Amino acid sequence: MKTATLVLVLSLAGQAADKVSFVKDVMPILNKAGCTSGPCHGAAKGKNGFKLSLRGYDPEFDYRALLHDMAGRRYNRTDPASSLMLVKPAQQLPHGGGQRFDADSPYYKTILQWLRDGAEFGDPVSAQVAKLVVEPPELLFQKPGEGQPLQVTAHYADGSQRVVTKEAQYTSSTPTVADVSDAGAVKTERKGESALLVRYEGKLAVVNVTVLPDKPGFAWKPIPENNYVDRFINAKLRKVKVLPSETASDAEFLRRVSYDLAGLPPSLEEVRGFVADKNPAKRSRLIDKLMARPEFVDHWSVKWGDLLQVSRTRLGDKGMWAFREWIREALAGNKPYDQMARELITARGSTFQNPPANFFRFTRDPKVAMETTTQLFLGVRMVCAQCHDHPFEQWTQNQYFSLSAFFAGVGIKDGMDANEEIVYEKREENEVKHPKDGRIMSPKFLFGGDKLAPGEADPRVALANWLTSRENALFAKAMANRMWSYFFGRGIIEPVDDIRASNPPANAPLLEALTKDFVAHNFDTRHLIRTIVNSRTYQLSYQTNEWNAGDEINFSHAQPRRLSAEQLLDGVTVATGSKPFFREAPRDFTAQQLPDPTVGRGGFLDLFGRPERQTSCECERRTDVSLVQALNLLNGATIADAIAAEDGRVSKLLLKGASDRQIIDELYLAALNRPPEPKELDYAQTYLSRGLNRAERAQDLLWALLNSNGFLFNR
Amino acid sequence: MYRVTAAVFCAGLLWSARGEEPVSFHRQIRPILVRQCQGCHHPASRQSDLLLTTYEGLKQGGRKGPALLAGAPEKSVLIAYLTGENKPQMPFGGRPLPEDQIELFRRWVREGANDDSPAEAPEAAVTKATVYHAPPVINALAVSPDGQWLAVSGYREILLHPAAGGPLARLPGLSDKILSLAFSPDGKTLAAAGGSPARFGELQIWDVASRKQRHSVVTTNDTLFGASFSPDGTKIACGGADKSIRLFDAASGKEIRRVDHHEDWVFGTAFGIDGQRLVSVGRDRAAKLTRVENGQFLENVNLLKEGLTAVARHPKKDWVLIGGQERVPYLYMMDRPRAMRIADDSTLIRKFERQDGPILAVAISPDARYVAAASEVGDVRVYLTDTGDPVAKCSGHRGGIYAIQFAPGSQRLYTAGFDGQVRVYDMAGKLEREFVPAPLEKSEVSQK
Repeated sequence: MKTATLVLVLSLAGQAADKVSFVKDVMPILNKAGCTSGPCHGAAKGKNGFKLSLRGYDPEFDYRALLHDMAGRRYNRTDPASSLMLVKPAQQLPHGGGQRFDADSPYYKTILQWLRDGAEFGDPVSAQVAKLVVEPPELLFQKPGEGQPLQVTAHYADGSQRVVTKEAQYTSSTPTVADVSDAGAVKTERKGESALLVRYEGKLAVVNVTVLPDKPGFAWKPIPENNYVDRFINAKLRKVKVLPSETASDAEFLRRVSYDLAGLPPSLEEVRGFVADKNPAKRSRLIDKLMARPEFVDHWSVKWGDLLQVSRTRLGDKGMWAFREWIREALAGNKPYDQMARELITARGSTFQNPPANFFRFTRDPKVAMETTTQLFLGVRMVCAQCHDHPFEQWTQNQYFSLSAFFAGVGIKDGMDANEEIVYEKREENEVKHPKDGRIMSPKFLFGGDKLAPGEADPRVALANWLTSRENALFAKAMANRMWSYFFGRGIIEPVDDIRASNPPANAPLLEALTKDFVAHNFDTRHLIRTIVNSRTYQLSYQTNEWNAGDEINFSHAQPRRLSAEQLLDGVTVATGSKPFFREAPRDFTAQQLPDPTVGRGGFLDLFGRPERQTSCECERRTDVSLVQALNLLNGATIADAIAAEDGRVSKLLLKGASDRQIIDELYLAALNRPPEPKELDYAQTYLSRGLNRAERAQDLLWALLNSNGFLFNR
Repeated sequence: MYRVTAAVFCAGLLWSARGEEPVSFHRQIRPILVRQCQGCHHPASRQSDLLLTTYEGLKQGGRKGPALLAGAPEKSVLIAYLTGENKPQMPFGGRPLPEDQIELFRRWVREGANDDSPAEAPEAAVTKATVYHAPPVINALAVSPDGQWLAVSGYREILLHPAAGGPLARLPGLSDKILSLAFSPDGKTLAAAGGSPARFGELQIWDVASRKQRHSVVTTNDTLFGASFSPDGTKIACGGADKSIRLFDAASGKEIRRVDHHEDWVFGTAFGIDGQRLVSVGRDRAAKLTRVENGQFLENVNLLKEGLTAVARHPKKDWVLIGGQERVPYLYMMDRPRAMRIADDSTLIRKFERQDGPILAVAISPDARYVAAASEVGDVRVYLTDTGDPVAKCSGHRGGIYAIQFAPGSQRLYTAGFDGQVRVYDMAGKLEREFVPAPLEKSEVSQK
């Protein structure tokens, strides 16, 4: 009896290095064979009573599930080969998930050997993958149809290495361009770009693939450069055999940049003056002029109002106006972006006296505050990591909660006034607990360790120091990318607030350069804007040529963007000379001055995608085009009333006794911000002169112009 | 007509001229069924009422009628689903079978759809004694009422140890796993519930004195759990992976009743004092009270929290101790002191200390003085029934503990589980004895 005991102790305690280890050898098989995937046993409730952790993020749980769960149902120590965990996936017994591997496969043999070796968990430290190296690290194919096998090597924490090409998992961001087989072979199908995500045991690597078009006759030609933006854009275009468009006309540029910087179309006088201006530097002078206008503040406070969820439903009337004013002052004074972020995150005191404290009125829970902070300021979406390690990123569930812990001390109590609240630091021990085992999480930065923000006791100050540090790899980058998207309709990384390894930038060197420049200029957002809009790239025409017609991601031509709800309404006001009235706001407010979505709720603005301001996601503002929108423009009261208004542009022109030609010229300038083309003039003249009711015909003309793409789109 | 016949005739000639052998169900068709179809059309799942684990099932068909018409592949539903002529195309949600495999099915049906499987040897009781190279995981143990015998689960057998020492008796049976053991109140009969996972369940009834198996009742398509005797020894209750409670006649082994009011696997059963009622616990979180006589559902004894794995009855009262995923042992009474209200927990007598892991087994001592709970993290804790005060912590296990029972004198506790050791503790939590109940083959165990 004694011998038997001794043998058991030996077999259970033995940690011989050559034994098959659960963490190092078996877990990757469960992941690769799909056992731990979302539709199978990785589902929240498992499958048919058998649950594994999603994509194997919790090996201890999976180990218990395989060996202990349901009275050790899946494990047979005496006859390992008859263990259910082998019999099922090998389909020796019916298995809903089908045959995952057969009894001759290396996977089967590894698991069997593991069971024979005593089914040990293995040393989690030495089994930890420290780094994943993929060869080749980047792929450039000369034409579609070419292919290349990858080789993936895992480097472990203990210094050892292992080739894991077969066990690694692959996903392609654009499989129609380049796909990758289960065995790691890349195959290309058509021109374009794709990011291949390689995953192995919680580590990620990304291989960027470019497939050049088969374009006989393509020849690059030198393109002038206004600044470094063009240098990086053109370098990329040259590489992927795309020629950029010509630059936009003066009128086109004027309209585009006016909407983009000041949210409004140019006035008739501005159009006439700008087109006539002979100064070669007139475009950059215009940019400076626009940025100095009060409408610049109006326009950008809409964007910040969205991101900071300024709305009286959450903040009350007074809090809403106070927060709006704080944003407007910050924009008017060009407050450095890092300072703005810092004031928000470290805010305390009355939401009336210290408006940035309103940040904590819409992020009341430490987890929400953390998710909002990371998405807003770092472009990182942490939400997946609340329930399990992020499947496509390096973020873990632990990180989710230890980052949330920075906000654990935020307390909110009622102030003296109705609807006033006080943000304060709670005195008692504050805790963010890990949901799995209830352990209390201490604050820990997401990356970079303590060297970005050394020795600061106040957790929110420490977090702000870390966040806004010049060395924080994501803070400036996220803003540079976000800002870029406002001028091109898409970020260099898109979506702008979903930055992750598996979502690579369309032009990494450009984003890097913009980031560096932004930091070097002390987070001066106006400098960033000026750099972008002065580039030749921003000023390209939307008209494509033979070589860039299919390009959607490399910024080789302008992308027509539907006007935002506010731009559209203010555009209608300028074009028709008639202003809509909103009960909830002062009479003379333009659409982009409106403080929050309570104003005119359910009306024209909401139809055209004004957000409710309930999240800090850029995606809440809709930019789509819908049938309802088109019908509203055609038949709705907003446009029809404005066109027919008694004090409107058309009435005034008729009263003034303007000629047909004058009417046509002015309506084109007012709606499309350019003079009519000869053909358009011809057509309009015929229309106006035909028949008796001239007023109605003039109104029709304006109606037609407002319903044209030339008005509805910024292009 | 002549032309058609001629064509068929010619085709037949050509075919035999090519010298092709008829398609074999056993060698060619069955492997495809196993790989592609049985995952959803097996006894526990039976999509569309179609069973594809046997030839008979295939022949019989499912909700869409007979699966095949021998000699006429074009009229066989089976083929139509494989080709996609009938929707949804099979295998459901997977890639369609390659054309050459579908053609195999067509030919097999055309040739008469015969079953050429060799006569299958029925699942025979093991002829060769199990050889243990490592201590087997112990899922069940039971001590006879007189304290003479200790029965422990082995692999494909029950290991019967005389408590006083002496030669081990081995009781081999059909099931791979014995998941529950129970002696009859008079100690003459031993019941064992278990089976082979995902294949069948079995109740074995043994005569202790002669060590002869009186009955082997094979039932359900997965294992049985939680066997218990009625106080008069005439009935045996089990839980099943098919969500059922099964009642058997202890003398004849006949299944008396199947009760289906659990919504998930049933892991444990316990009769009331008078044998008229039964409490069963399962993964559906409920401790359900059932009238034995007619299988009528009476009510849930407990307030539903998390999945339950174990139940034990108080020796003198209609009280039950239950435990499971929530890690908290609860003592409930089977009779409700007042009319039930919403979220009523008036049957609760006592809630014991939360354990460090999910509870896998519970026990109450024969004198009712102690209760014990065993958990997945490997300790067993003993408490006073009346106060809930801790009495002992029995540690030293490696891995989860699946079975515990007090010895008749109420002064000793037997435990066993994942590490394959049977341990005996006194009421101070001191380990008195530990041993591997299975005969170990010394040679092959790795010493590296």
